[in-house]
Amino acid sequence: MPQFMRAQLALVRQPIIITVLVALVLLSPLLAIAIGTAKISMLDVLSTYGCHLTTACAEPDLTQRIVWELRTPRVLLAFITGAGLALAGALLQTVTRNPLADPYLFGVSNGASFGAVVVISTLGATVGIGMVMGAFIGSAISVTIVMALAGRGVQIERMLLAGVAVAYMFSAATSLVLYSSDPEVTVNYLFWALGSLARAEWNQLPLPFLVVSLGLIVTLAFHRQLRAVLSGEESAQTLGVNVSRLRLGMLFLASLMTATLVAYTGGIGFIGLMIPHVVRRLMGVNNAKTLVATALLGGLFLVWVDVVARTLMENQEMPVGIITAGIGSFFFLAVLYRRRWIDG
Amino acid sequence: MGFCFSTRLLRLVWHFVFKTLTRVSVVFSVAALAQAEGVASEKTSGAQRIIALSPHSVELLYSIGAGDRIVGTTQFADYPESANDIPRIGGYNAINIERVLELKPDLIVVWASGNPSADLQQMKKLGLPTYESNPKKVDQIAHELIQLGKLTGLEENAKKVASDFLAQLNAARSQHANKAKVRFFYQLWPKPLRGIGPGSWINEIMTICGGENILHSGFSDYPEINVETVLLAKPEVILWPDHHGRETEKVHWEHWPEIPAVKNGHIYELEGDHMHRFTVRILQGMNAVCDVFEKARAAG
Amino acid sequence: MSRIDSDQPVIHVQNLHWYANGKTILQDIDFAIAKGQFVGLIGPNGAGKSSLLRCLYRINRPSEGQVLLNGRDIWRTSLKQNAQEVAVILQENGDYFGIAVTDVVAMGLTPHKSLFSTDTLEDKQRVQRALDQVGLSELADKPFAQLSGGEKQRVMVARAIVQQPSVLLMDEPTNHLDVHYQIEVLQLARSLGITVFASIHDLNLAAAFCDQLLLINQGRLVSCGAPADVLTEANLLTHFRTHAQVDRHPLSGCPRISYDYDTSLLKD
Repeated sequence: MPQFMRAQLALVRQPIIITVLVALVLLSPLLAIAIGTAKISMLDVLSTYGCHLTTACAEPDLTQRIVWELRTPRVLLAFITGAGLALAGALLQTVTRNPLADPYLFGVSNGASFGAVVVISTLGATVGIGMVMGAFIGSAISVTIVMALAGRGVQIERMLLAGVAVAYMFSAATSLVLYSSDPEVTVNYLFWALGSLARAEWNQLPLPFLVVSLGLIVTLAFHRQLRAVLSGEESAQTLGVNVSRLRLGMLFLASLMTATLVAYTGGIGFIGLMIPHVVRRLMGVNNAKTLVATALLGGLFLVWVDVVARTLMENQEMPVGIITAGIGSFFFLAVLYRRRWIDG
Repeated sequence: MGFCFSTRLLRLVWHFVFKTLTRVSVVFSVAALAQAEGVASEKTSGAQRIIALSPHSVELLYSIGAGDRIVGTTQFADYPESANDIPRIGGYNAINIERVLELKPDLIVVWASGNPSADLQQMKKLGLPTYESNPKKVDQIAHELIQLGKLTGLEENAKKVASDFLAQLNAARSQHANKAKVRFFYQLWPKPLRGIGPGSWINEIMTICGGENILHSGFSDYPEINVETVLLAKPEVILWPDHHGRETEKVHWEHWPEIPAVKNGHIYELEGDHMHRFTVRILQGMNAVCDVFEKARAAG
Repeated sequence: MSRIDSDQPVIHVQNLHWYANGKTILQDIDFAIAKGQFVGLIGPNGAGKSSLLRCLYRINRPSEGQVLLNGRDIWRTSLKQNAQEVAVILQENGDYFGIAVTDVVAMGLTPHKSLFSTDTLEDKQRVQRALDQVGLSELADKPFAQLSGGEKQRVMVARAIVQQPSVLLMDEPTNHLDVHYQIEVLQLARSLGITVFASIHDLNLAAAFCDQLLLINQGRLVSCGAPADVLTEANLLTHFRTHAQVDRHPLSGCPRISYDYDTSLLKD
């Protein structure tokens, strides 16, 4: 099919895709919660929610407790994380007009990793507010350096180069900390870096939820400005968009989301790169609908990847970052093979 | 996650496989390494200047009475107390070969699971007298003691220590062989939650005491798991090692009285070094575990 | 210094100087454009045409002097307010990430909408009308990147229409277009009936479409007025270093330039 016809179809498809996505988002968690080590049916899931809704859950049985206390926060954290990472990727790709931009390209994730490894090595903690602070400070430092070097008018090429340099700098610093600390720290860092949602608890959900919601709200508020940026820096400026300020703001927003999510779930990669790409292929254009769809698809994707992560092997968790990176890299190889180049 | 991830992952795997292996992380050894050959690469009789490149070899040398001959060791060799005074010549990530040469050792006890392989190769190339001590099974500790005895001219001492060790081990074995099995979960690390698989060193100690690991199969010996797995397996005892006083986060097992171990209060902290080091102190760890299992049996 | 005199200038450039990297790019520029005029900006390569336009669309901040839009300094109004008055069509268009034509046109709504706002039915109709006006309704759902150069410029005109400006600035809008599209784009711009200020490379085209011309060279305004007054043989020789004969176009009556292609005359 010629490309323009595909694109024409894409626009027509938009409402259909959004409808399907919303339906999946409503259904998937229920299905995903019913899958796991313990045999639990959809009916059990529904009865658990029924009893929690009617506050009749004074003495829940083990199945209900597993559904409510273990699987529900986990599926929710997976959804929030997937949505946030995908949205962060879409934002960065838009403001840099680079379809390959993602938090890793600007050193954000390396900064977050460095902050995290410092926290692990000094406090021994692998979750909690200390990790969030560490990861966020690390990523904020890298963003600050990148922006400081970005030059007047925040030039993209300079930003990308600065990002690569900062990424290597933090990567070296992380290695240094690991090299000088004891093996226990190294192993803990490794397990953290591979990514996992197994640690999800209800009391860990508020912060990621707030940050990702904030991200989505800000994105929707500025959806016109974000679209205008796609026409080029000067052109967007003539439409009344302060491009440098928008870019700075969105970069910080994407860092905040990435750092928070990375701190809670570790290194879950490729979502920020892959999901926006898929959405662009499915829905064509970049507007408010596309951004919402990106968040929804990102969330769905991670919910199901996590189902695989916890059921692939008996008695064992598969680190979720290995699966996302695996799927992501094969996805891109397939896209490259079919098209020999990557465009929007 | 971008392209940086793959290189970071590679580097981490590299760390994981080659670099993480002392103290607690002894248990992460994944490489199938040749067992100790029991032959010094050079003929020595009664080594007097020993470099011991692992915490366990330092301890074993002390227990046969050769502790005062150790002139150099690595980062985490902290037992017995006087071992802390031995000069350090490297850690798990590097050995300072120049310092090794300076010390003019007549025996170097190396540890393939815990020393950088490039440094070991270089030492062999330089013709230094190395002996590889790398026990993987509890019984091999006796064998290690005797080999070290031969190399230090303290064979009689060593034989006595070794036979004592084996005697205690076998006594424990026969004592617990026919007792009821106790289903246990050994929590290696709280968050992310990790346990031990059937192929691990610690599992052998547990088995001697009549324990039955709830993680009876698995892809790795030290897997990451989730709370749900433990809930469904209903262990009678939950154990974890201390981490040298390091504060770790807690898994809130008390929220799950559905687990027999929680309901009956059979949750215990063990001394990590007694569990994770290949030395005669493993007997103390074993006794602690056997006591815990006895209590669980007595409770019903 | 010459002036285009007018009662109520829409654009008033006063004593404008602009320096970049220690070099003087524009100096002492002074002119005014009256409402509804189509004014062309001409000059040899490197004269400072794009720099001057950038000063007018609020990218280059004047080092001295000021640019007044309806009597107000453009640097004292917000970007957004400015964009409600001035639409700009640039020389080059990016690839726009595979965005559809209709969404490019809808970008023109940006300065008129508040945060969170979605497109109303009226907005959609306005986009549709603009596409009709430039004759591209049938390509509405096509990716912008796949249009021809002429179609892209018409899309940008449609975007400018949706922006509802009182002034349209264009930086070499006919660059790289074939003759048909050059004429079409300028005709479209003219048909809007708003004030237009455009830099135009082709002098015959400039003579045909513009009410007034500004000629700049080496950062200075050297001549301005009706095309017949600016496009003189003397100016062409002095500022474009070209021998030419200027007469009347047989169809339109505008000045017509016939270049002398004898290169031996070009030597300084």
